[in-house]
Amino acid sequence: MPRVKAVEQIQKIMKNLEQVRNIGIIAHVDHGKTTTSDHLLAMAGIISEKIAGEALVLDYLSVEQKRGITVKSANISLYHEYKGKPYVINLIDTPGHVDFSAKVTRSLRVLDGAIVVVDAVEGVMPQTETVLKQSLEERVRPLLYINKIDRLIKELKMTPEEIQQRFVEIIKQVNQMILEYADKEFKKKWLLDVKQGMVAFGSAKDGVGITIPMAQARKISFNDIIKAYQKGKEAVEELKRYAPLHEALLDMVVKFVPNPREAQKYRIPKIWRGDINSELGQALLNADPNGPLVLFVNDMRIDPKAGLIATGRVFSGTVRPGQEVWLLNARTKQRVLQVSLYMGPMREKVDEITAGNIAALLGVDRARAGETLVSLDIKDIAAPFERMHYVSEPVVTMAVEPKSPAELGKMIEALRKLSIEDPSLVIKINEETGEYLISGMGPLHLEIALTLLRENFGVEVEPSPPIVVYRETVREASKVFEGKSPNKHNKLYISVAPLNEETIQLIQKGAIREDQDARERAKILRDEAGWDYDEARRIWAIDENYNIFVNLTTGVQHLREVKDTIIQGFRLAMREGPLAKEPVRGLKVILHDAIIHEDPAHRGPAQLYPATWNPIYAGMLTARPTLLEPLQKLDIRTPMDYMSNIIAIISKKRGRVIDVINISANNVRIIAEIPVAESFDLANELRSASAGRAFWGTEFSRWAPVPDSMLLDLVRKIRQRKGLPPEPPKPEDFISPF
Amino acid sequence: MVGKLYLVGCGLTPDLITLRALTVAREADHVFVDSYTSRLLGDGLAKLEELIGRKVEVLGRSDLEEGLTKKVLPLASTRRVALLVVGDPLVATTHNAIVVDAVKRGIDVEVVPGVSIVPTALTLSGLMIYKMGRIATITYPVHGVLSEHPYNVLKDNDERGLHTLFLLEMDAEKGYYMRVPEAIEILYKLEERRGEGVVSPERLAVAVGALGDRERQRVCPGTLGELMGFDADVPHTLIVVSPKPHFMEEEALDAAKRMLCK
Repeated sequence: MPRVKAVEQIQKIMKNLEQVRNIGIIAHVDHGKTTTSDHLLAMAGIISEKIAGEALVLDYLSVEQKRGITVKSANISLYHEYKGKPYVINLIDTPGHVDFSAKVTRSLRVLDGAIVVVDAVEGVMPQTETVLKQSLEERVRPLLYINKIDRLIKELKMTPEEIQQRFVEIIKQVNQMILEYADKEFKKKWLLDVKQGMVAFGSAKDGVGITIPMAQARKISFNDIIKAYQKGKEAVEELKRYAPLHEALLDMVVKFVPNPREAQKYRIPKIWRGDINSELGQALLNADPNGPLVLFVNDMRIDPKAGLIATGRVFSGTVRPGQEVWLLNARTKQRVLQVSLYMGPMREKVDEITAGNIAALLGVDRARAGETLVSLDIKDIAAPFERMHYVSEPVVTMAVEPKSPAELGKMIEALRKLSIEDPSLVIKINEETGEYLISGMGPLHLEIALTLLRENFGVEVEPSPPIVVYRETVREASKVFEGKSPNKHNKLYISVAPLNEETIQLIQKGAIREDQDARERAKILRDEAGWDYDEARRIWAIDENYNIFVNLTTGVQHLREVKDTIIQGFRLAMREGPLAKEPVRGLKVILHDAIIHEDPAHRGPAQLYPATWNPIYAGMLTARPTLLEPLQKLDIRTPMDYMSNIIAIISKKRGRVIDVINISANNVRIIAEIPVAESFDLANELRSASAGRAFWGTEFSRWAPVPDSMLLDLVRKIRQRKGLPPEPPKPEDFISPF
Repeated sequence: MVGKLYLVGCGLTPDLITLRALTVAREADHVFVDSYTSRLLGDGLAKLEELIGRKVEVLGRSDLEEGLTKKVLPLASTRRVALLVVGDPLVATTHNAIVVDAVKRGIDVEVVPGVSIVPTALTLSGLMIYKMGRIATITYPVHGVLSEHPYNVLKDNDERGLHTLFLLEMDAEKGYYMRVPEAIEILYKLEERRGEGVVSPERLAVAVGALGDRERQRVCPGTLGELMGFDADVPHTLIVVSPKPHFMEEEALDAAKRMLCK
């Protein structure tokens, strides 16, 4: 039963940070994240007297309603008593599918601990690994919950020994990842120890769960659990009373997840770029409620009644309604109109929320997930949080139109709101065709967007089949090309070359950035990516698709005044490459020399944009240009008998088997890579090839050049789809004859 | 048939066109007019057509830059093509690239000079060409970057005791024309940034508007502070007078004020 609490009671607990925990649940899709969250909400939710009084409590308990709430709420505050002491546990929403990687990482920033849910039958899947790795990078402490143990007993009819063996395997795998990905000081400390109760076992569907210390205290053995499941429903109901899941999980959280102040002491040095010894640094380290305000926004959602709601964690200071705050990324000032805390999934207005806690804000509608809000007096000294590392390059796109033309306006508005809530979903209008395009991280990501459109916004749309997004790049360095402005009064001398993989990774990790000290950046590029130091010091721009602009000129008159125009020309060129107008990736553009007209009227954007992109395009077309396609990693578990069928499918789809691992006498794990372009009907084929016995996970792997034999054909197809002449341009088309 | 390209300045207004320009425009096989580097005041285009007795084809920026080799030049290799440009084709409007491209293709070119904004503004203000320094355009900020070039030119000219003529940014295709008060604001901003004591509200200057149109043109000497209230038809031009004007110029400025700043 949800406990009814007064807002004041909760506020009182929140001020004593030892009684607060900020956690998330991370899991591979279908491993039971939603069921687990729903169960926790039902058993340990807090609701305010006001809401309970309004008889909402019944609705609140109905499964339908609850599901809706879990899906829509950015945070759920749970109430839990451990050894007689009350705790507020903030369960922050982390999206389940790895297609939402960007969103997952943003929410990790505000968590101190995570319950990793693993399906006992399927085991650790690639997404589990990806998200676990990301959490460890953010210094989020992982705890393990092995879910769906009932299936081991009822479906697979495993013996107690086999079950134990399965558990040991899973724990070992997770511990290996902790050893591999955790920072040095936590490698040992965070290893999961079953005996201490850092691992829970259970079934979220049945609400059953237990840890070893709990089993010892209550004198339950694993055999009792097996027997209960063998006996049937009533016995399981009975079991639930002795081994309730919410207690198993929340006890574990209270015991092993550090409180916010304890956590900030070691997390801030990792996630914040500023000086730890400064006054601000100390306030952050100590989660000081009297320090300057620093609040990290991890989620923006639209509430149909209230408007845009920012949810985030106060890392330092206290947030109050009416306060003016500075948005570090948006570089703007906004006023906080309303501050709320979460009561279960509901928001309750309060007059302040102190450091270490999760707040919901109204009024800061210019913020986007990933924003940092600070008090005005530190706006110039507050270093932003370390940029989060995530891959957010959309790989599939689809055109959508409303089923009823009258709903166009409604659809556009809904798409706009969707992209605010999920910035990794990119919405564009195709200027030529007037179509609305949604691009996302994978086919499933787009499917979910369509579902949201229908369910949350009531818009029925007609989608086109998903289309793979490609990238353009080059495979060798070009010579220097001269780019003339249309009025012929300005000349730029530019060459292009591929960036090496090390450089791309440094950009991806956020280790090198455009807004970074040039010398510091040059040192990293020299030491880790083999750059010449002097060249690296002359970087002008790094664009979002991993392209770099380097200025190697010296003493060119008037160049400083047109620097930003040239950089903008470079960015525009990188959006649409010469082959098929797909985005350019991994290109180094070098400016060697320039002649700039002295009068600003003769060197505006209309003149300098073409002077910038013409030599870039000419260079690219002479430097073995190609398309890159997204590859997907496949992690398949199957009975041995179907292995050859499955491998045949993989090779038919231009895939490559990377590894085959025996996981038990009769089961194998196949790790493979296939192009996303070949993956659209993969699920059906795998199912029929294995009589439904194989299960698998997918995630984005990398970009790879398409086979040369396919290149020209593919280029023509993409160009035709975009309404362009099928033949790509020639270098001469970008070189002025005189 | 051997073609020829005539680059024709047709003056600031149709009644400032030269006889040679008129003859060329009447006898050519094709007549184009450049519509983007400047504009014909009021119903100037209709008057011009009436004067030469035929329709002219209006060309935009891309026709004369990226598209030059697609249309005008191929035509000029076999036909007589007249490209009319408001003012003079090679003074403020720098169409030298067209001449160079045409000559490289072996096309015969004749340039017909026209009455241009730069000497005319100077003439009417009473200032002497002998004391004229480098000219520059005052432009709007691009990507938030304000060009400091006008400031540098002004400072340089001041040091040599020369006048500085500023053309003001315009885009006839997009229909925007910078006005004198905006230009002065930008100069103030540059002074604020550089702080080298070059621009001040007390400095003497001449604001010029609707040059060449006898009815509407205004040529107003005054301090920059006074000229913040300058109002006239576009295009506008601003001349900042040398710190050491000739005594004759001072008298002539006074005369200009009485004649042309009503």
